[in-house]
Amino acid sequence: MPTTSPGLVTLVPPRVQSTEPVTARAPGTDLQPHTLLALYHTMVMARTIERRMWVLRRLEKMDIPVRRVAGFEALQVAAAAALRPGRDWVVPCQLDLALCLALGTSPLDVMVGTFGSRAARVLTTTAAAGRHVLHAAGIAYAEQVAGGDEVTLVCTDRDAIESGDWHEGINFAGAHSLPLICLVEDIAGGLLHAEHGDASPAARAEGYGLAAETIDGGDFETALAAFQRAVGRARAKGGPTLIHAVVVELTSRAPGGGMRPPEELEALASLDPIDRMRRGLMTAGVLDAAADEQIERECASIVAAAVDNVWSRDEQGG
Amino acid sequence: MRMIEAVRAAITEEMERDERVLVMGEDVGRKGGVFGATDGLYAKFGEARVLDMPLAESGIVGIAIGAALNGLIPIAEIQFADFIHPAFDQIVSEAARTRYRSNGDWSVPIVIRTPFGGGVHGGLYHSQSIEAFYAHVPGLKVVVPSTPADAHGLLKSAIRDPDPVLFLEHKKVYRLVAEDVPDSDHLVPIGPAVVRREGTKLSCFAWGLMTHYSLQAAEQLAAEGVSVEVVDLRCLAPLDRETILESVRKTGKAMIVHEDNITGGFGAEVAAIISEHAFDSLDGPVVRVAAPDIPAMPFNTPQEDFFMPNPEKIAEAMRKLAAY
Repeated sequence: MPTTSPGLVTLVPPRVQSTEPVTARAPGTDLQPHTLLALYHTMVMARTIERRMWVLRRLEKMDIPVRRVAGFEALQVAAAAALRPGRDWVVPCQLDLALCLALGTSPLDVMVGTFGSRAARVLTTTAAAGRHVLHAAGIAYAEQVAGGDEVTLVCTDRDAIESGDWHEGINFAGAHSLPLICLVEDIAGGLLHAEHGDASPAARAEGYGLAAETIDGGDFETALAAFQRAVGRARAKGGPTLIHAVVVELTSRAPGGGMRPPEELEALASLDPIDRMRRGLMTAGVLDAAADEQIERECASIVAAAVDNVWSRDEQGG
Repeated sequence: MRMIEAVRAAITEEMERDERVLVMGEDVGRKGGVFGATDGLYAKFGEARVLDMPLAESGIVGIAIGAALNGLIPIAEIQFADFIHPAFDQIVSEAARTRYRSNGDWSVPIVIRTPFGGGVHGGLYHSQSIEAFYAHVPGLKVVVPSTPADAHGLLKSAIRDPDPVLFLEHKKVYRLVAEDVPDSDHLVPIGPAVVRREGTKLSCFAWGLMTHYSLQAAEQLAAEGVSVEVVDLRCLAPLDRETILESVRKTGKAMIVHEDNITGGFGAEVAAIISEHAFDSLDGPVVRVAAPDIPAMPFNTPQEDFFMPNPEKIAEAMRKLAAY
């Protein structure tokens, strides 16, 4: 079961219902060490970008919205690892920095929110929650008509499942048994604009004929196993899956408003997906402290260069 | 061939020509559409390419967008234009905007077909004219054929267009007129208007059913010795400004006829273009003949007649403008 710390919100809401129990920590992955390191590098890069954007925003040196990713990094790189980049389709939402980085989007493009690439089969993003679920359903339908085994992953935040377009898209996916995976990226105890009824995302998806599960989105191995199950089901013409991934929000802001007390922040750190991944890689002998520092330096350097690139363009009026 | 048959022929020919083309909408499959536009296609092309959709218009258009992004060429049918509004967001914010938003990386080659217009006792929810909402939107083409041959040739062009096209078919025109339709290779380009009747005293601009009513009115005026030019705009976006201005510069007087209510209707845009670019040629006010500003088309005959422009109302307006 996901970790619950005193004073913290529960990682998985108690009323969750799903076709499968909340997934226990997977025993390991079949990924090669260099792949695991590359994914870890991407996680650190995504976090570095977000932090840099916050700094630039606070310094009033940047007026584009900060792309939030903290807490979702492990989940997103796990999704990328389960897919075939450039062949499977990805319809991201605005949270998906780490996912798009892992699929080949440049740090600069990620910073300015230019996620889409036709060549990479990553769709350009829209602002409204849920609208893009219909596009994903259409993409998956076209794949089904073509007879291939490509999978479509669509990502949404928790609020999107209240939108009509989400329901219309998920209904269509279930009715046609489409090769679609819907990832709902949820912050435990996060403020929803409005929530109606007791049904969890997984329970709602079940109602439309999808397989569904709720997972600890902060754990890479758990997430990877869930995506591999879903991808396998879709490729085998077994129909769509919804993955409801719950993470903690790694900020000093308390979920219910106000600021978190220091002891709660300290406890939160143990749930940071990057720290969890780092500990796992070090325990497995894939990463050591020196290599970890090197990755942090590289990421900081690449992000600094991306920011310089933008500023030099601004100065040139480009 | 009548217009409904021309629409069916165009779809059939394009589906035969290109296996990426498919139709999707409410009752388009086994039933063949409420007007019969897709009659027989389910049996000919199968369920995967003639897809019955849930009664959810945003879903119909949004899923068509996705299928188009992945290489298909969907023709999405909205059963009546009155019900297109749940899909407004998908049409305006997604389909029309995707090429611009992606710096040209993605495009959305879809056609959204829908019957519009009144005069058939459709009442409040089966009679609307919706063209003004959508002709306002950059990135979207809006086509309104008034003849079978144009419906055939323009629909084929719309299906082959790399960007989204809203294709409005007046339901009263479906079976109003019949004419020979050119062979299957004949395309009518999206954009150019056509002069249906040449004249010298005033120019009348119309689309859909109103083209036919304007021609009938022009016939009455001809008997009275007044020569009226009738221009069928056919496409509201892109709009053939040159043909409009050329006609007005010739006649010196301009009238726009549409069935939509008058305020904010597409006639206002045509009038503005004429005022801005042919002011020096005008010899009278730019006149609009349109439905009154009431919330919807009524059902019963006297009220529907009051709402709808008809040849008599148009002829009377032509007489007044010619005499100005």
